[in-house]
Amino acid sequence: MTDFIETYFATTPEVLLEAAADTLYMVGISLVLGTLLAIPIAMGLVLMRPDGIKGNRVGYAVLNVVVNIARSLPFIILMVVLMPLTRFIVGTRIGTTAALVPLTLFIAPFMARLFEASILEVPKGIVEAAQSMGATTWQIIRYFLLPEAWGSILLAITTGTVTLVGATAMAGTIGAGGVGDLALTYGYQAFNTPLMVLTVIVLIVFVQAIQSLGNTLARRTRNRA
Amino acid sequence: MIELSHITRVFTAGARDVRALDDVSLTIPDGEIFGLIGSSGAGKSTLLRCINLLERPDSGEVRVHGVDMLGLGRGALSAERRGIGMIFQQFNLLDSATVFDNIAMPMRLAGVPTDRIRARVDELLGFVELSDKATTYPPRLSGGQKQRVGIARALANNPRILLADEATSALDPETTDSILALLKRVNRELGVTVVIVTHEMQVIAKTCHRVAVMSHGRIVEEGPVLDVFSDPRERITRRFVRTIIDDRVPEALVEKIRATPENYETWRLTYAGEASAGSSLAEVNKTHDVTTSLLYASVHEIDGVVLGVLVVQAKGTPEVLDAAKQYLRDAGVGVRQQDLDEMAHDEGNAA
Repeated sequence: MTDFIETYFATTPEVLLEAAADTLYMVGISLVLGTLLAIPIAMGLVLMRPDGIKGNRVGYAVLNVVVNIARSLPFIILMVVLMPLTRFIVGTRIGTTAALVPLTLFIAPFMARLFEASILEVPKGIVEAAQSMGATTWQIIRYFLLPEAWGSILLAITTGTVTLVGATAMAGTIGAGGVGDLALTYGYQAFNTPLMVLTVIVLIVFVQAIQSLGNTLARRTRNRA
Repeated sequence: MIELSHITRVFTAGARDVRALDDVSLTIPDGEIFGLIGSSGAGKSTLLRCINLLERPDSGEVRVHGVDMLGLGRGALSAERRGIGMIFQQFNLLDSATVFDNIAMPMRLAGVPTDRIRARVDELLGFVELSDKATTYPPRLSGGQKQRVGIARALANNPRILLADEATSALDPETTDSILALLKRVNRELGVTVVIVTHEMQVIAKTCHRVAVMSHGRIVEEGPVLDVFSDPRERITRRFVRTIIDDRVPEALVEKIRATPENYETWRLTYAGEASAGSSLAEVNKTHDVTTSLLYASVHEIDGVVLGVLVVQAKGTPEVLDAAKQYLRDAGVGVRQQDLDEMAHDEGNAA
């Protein structure tokens, strides 16, 4: 097997496995952190809308603009812009862990928008019913909005995960490693076409697996009973 | 007792203001089934929402069981709302939770212990006849079953008031009847005051004790359902009553009546319960020099009482007609002059 890989792809299994592990590490951690940031942002956007239950024109406008600004920057530029912050948080500007900062701050506003749309899909009547029962704002979020939007939120997380896989390839430019980086530096720049094709296949399998898992989980949530 | 005084609510729709509620006052005593009827946009749902403050009036006073609702802080308002159940046209159940969890929700929010929740949900499932559906999710239920779950959920915290906002408008006629029967049981067996908002006079006729008719943000007529049905005063009320008791006659017949050479009047006769206009009319024909011809007759059950409505053309001298009318009134029959124009012309559907 090792011989086969070395003969055809001019690399070692260790390199391939490390690249896969790096990708999973970056996607996994930034997905969790990004989701944890995105949910409160999305909830803020929904609640502070002018017709929301905590209507607040100023608060909504500020949050809306902040999310839009963050969403305006392509990931590769965001990475460079955030370098000082990255060094402050992680201690270094380059490497796999350093990539987590821009990846998280890239995906959080993206998913916040998707979550916002998911939560807005919950019928207004549900909130009205909650209020008629004497629910507090926190109870409305916890027991009504999040559970009812959950199926849709899972699909949004799936979309976010696939987007993150794409972004990690660019993180290679700050030495973050991963499957995308493997394809660019060892495959494309070293004229190693078989390796490049292999990484493409690996990426396709990654994305297919993520999408199938997300669809299955969302379907389970939506079609209960 | 629910007391609404001088309630005004203005919505801003683009550049102009819409007065959804215009100085409305209304008192609903305990134990009653009260109906609010009006065309769409009349303000009836907005008024209903002022009772539990889902809608905050711009001015006026809301008192429920003596408590000044508008003066309450957030926590106290939450507590008061638990004493006021509400059901909706679109049911508003959580699709992501079982029937059991939907009904348990108001109690969980109120911090009721788990074992007491279980017992109460079982009791409520029995009351609404859905004991076999506890683990089902709402998307698997029919409209009628969903509304039963809605009613069970609204009753979870033992409220003294139940607000029903167009609760049967999304249901077919048969299911509507079963839900209305359930609301009557809620009122009779549990002593809950029920306030029903609807645009269907049928709902009022079958269920309510008293009714208020709304139009353009005001209450234009209010009274016991039987009185409103037998003698509707406002034009809009007559239109609503006509959706049940359609006492219009063909244009050709009206022309014929107009062409009557003798002195005549057209009367709308109403009788409720024991009285019978039929036999009284026969007596009048014998004892007075009057000839009557029947234009319209109907019998309906309104709020559990039989209401008969007859429209007749009576011919005779003015003096004799007056005497005949007095005779009928003495026999317990309601007598009113019927306007021929209004009888013939279709004024459009009230709904």
